[in-house]
Amino acid sequence: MTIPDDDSTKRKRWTHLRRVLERAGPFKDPNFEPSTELLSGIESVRILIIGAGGLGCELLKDMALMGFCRIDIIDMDTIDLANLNRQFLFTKTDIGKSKAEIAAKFIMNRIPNCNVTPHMNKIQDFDASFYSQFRIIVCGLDSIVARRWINSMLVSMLQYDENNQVVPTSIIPLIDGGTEGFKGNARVIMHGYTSCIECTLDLFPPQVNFPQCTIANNPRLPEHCVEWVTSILWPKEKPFGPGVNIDGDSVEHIQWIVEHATKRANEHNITGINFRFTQGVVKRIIPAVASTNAVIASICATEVFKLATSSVLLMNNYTMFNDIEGIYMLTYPPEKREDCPICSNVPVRVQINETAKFQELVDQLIEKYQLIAPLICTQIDGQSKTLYMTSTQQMLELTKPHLRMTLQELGLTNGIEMLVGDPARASSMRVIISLTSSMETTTAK
Amino acid sequence: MLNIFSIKQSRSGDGASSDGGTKKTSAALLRVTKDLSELGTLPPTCQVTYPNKDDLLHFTLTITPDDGFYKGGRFIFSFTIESEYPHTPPKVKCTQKIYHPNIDLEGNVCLNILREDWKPVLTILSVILGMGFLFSEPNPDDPLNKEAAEVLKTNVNTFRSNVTKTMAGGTLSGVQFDRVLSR
Amino acid sequence: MSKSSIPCTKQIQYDRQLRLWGDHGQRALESGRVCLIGANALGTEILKSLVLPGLGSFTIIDHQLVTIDDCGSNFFVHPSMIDQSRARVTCELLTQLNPDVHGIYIDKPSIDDLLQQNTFDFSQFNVVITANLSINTLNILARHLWILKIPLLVARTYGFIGTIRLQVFEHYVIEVHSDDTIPDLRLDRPLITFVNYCNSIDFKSLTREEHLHLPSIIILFKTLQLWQEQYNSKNLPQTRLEKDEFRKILDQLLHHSAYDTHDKEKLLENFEEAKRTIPSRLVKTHLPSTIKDLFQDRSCLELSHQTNLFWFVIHAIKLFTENEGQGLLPVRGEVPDMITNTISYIKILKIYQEQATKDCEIVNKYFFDLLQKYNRLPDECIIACDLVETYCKNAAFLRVLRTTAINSENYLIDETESNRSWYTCLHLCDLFYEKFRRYPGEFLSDETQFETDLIDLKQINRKLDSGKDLTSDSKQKFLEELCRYGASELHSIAALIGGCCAQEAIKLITHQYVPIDNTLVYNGIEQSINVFKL
Repeated sequence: MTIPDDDSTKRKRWTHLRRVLERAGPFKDPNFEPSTELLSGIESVRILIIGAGGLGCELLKDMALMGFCRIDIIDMDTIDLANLNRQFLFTKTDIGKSKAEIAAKFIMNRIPNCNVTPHMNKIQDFDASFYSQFRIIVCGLDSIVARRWINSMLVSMLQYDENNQVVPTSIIPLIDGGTEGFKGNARVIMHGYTSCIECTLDLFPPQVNFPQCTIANNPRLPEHCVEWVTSILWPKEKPFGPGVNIDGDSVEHIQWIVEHATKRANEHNITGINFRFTQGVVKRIIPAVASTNAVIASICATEVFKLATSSVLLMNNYTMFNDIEGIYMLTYPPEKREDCPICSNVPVRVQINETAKFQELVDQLIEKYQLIAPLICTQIDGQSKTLYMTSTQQMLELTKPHLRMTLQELGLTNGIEMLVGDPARASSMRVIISLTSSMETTTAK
Repeated sequence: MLNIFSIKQSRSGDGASSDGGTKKTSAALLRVTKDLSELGTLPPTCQVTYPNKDDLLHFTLTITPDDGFYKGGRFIFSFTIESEYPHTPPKVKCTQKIYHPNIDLEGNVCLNILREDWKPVLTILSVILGMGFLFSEPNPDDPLNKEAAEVLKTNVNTFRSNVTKTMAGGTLSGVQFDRVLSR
Repeated sequence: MSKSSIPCTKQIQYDRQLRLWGDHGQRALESGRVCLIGANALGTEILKSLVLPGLGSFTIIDHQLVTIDDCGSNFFVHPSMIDQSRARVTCELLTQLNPDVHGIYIDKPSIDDLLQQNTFDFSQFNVVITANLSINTLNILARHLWILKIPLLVARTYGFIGTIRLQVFEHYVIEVHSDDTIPDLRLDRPLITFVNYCNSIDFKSLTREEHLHLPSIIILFKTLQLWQEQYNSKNLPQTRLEKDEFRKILDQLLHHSAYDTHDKEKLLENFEEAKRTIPSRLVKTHLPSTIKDLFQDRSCLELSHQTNLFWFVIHAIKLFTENEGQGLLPVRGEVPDMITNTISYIKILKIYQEQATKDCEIVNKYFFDLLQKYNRLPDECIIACDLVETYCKNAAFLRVLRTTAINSENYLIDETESNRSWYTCLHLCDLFYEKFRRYPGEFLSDETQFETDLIDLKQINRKLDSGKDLTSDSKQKFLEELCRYGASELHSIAALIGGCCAQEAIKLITHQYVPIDNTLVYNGIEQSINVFKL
């Protein structure tokens, strides 16, 4: 059951989009040229959505109905009953199945001609060659770690010109959305031009950690009692056998915690412990409603559409939303940190002869960047390797022999990136090795 | 904001880029590399060793106090740096069963900068120095091991002899402690 | 532990939202009835965010058939359903989202005919929502609902622009859930039990241990007592000088004979906390102006047999405030966490909680007396107990929202506020529609038509603006942009207004959180929202 894929049907179907694609207006981006071609442009551009949860489901629907037809979606999770109050592409019969797969299937059934490729994976399962297939990446995640990971991945894929400026065509724009209860935010990141995730880490709410001593001795809140059970009693009593960690989704586990937290609370005259509360503390549950997810995802989708078409100006470039008291939305550009360890950390290239010893490379770095005691590490074929470290006795002894080895013996091939930390520098440097040939004849070619 | 991106342009470095393949610069590693380069300034009482030299995210801290109640002991802690670092503090555990007001028998450590007062501007070095401080100045006001704290507050001499006894692997109130003497 | 406390399937399904509006909010939502007029992209997006959290029932009124361009914007249709009843199709697909929700549709007669026949009972709904309803129909409907006192949400999208207008005769906000509230500790008007407890602490004879764990609120109060004694005052320190003196006394309390010299350098966390919390905890206790206004409201002063229960509770709280409360509201009974030991904290918490319970009982008694007086007792008393407690806890935040009626709008006042002009310009598009029965720029293929439409639109603007300054450049730009949009329904814009509008409906149904007052404009170009009163 599909719509005929002929041109006139397609054009009729997308009348709403075509009005803003085939006509210009005073709020267009300067790049914009109205054209009937733009519709097929949207159809062919490859989009990656990270996360098929509350935001991901909305994003998938929004992108598909904004004309995008080549979408990949990544999520390693399976569907849970507690997802269903907002993750509308899933029903009770889908519980336990892959979020990415069910979401993809639903969209392709509902919106024929839209191709969605699901990946039941962690984002860390893929490397740069995977991410470089996409022109725009949209993130609907609840994890800071994952956001930082994809952020630094995209930075590592940038190319720089001779003035150390980012080459615009090497940018994969990252649109990021996040929600918590009735609050949310969305942003457009173009590395090198806007602030990045790492520049603005303080925009994320800090994790609440209670003092260990309060938990051990002076509980006052029901939270303190629950944390006492999870951090002190559980490791001591190992109620479900040695090596069994707390599973926040296990009714038995939570019940055991409720029981003992209640006991502790009663001893201290504290009230307020019940199943829902306890599970919330144990799993650090963030409340969520359908409406906020709809709002934040739609902002992301609108911006992706603008990026792809230039039909109107982009937002600039971070927006906060809150609808507890009235409805509030503020947009502003957070400062791009000049000392951001990720996006301001433009890799430097060092040229060195391919037959050189590692010592020569270290000397060159020390001299050129006035280092005191560099710590150098790298990744070779996905394996971390510590090349040089002098700040502890053991590591000095272990890595000193590297100095006498050649780059080749250490596996340092052309283009390999090293991390260099030093007490004299505020943050680590990224150093890319450029090998020069010892034989004049080959360089001439 | 102006759109510097256009789907009409092809992406530079598309497909088989020469140095794309394997590199993944983790934000945590980027920070840790810098932090660890500073360890040269550690006092001789604090020593860092790596079980695996290529894994900079897991290491052992050995504290050998040269002063105070715990002089003559050798205390070993495991450090784990997670990928959230420095958004979250490093995870620290004492690997021995010791008698200390701020360390419980399971090895949990009560140090403010490891929990509620952690800030991303703090470094591995500041945590290690804080750990050293726990042995020169055990703090009975924020105890994890309440019995030990109580003794320290009420009778310093008993506390001193308890520490000496337990460091030698003695038994106290039915608890067998690990022998942690340095020689 | 009893098995009964394990959550049931439904509680797990709604877990993430129950943590926000509670089981009572969920119950309200599950008995909520919503009417949607217009099952277009916007309308279905609104219902989607109501069906998922478990609304009681919805009724869709829409006489149109599914078209091919619906398939390019509306998620709740499928190409195989073209030319079928849009109300039926969307109703089916929406109820599939959540089998707990009851969906009804009316595809005949049209909304215009329904209104003309005047037989359809709109008073069965908690709220009526319109999605991109044309101006004439809207005006008739709005007038009708205003008389019935049924809340109306008017939602609209137009290219990258969206609007929501709320018309409500009278809406009660009971739980605001405000983000930052100042704790109700009343150190300037202290509870007698609290004073007694503080006086029972002999500061000089504190042990080191006790001093270390002295709760910061006690430190603040002790300092205040000393300060008031010294300055022979009954108030809080106000001038900078007074505040400095206050801090000086606080610092003196910090030095204590229980410490040896070694301790002196130590940072005392509880004293640090006391200093840090001066701005939020050492504040004047007063009757908030919002509740003062409610006390003076005619509905509160002139209770009758028909008055909503809300006003009975307000009146009861008013009586409490004028008598036992000595000018203040019932105590909230919450104490923020502070650095201290368990016993001290729980002791203080209990002092406030017990006072809150006492105050609430008094309000409850007034409330029942009032119900009896106005013959409301038998049918109302069952729910009342929980009700009064919730009101007392939230007394400082209770409010009433009354908007103007849509028909009395004056579209052309004050356009200086950002985004306001979009609303005005959309009204011009409506006037264009009234005249030509289509929106400017709606036809796509004809460029000359576009130009003519734009000229006509500007013409309408000039007529309305006559006598005023020449229309501003920016307004010309807005009209041109709207003409470009030609009333296009972009899905992502519909999704945003859909989410916002659904949440406004939830606020109206649950009486939690504060609805907009009363007009919202969303600008999808800048990604900004402005709310203003019409």
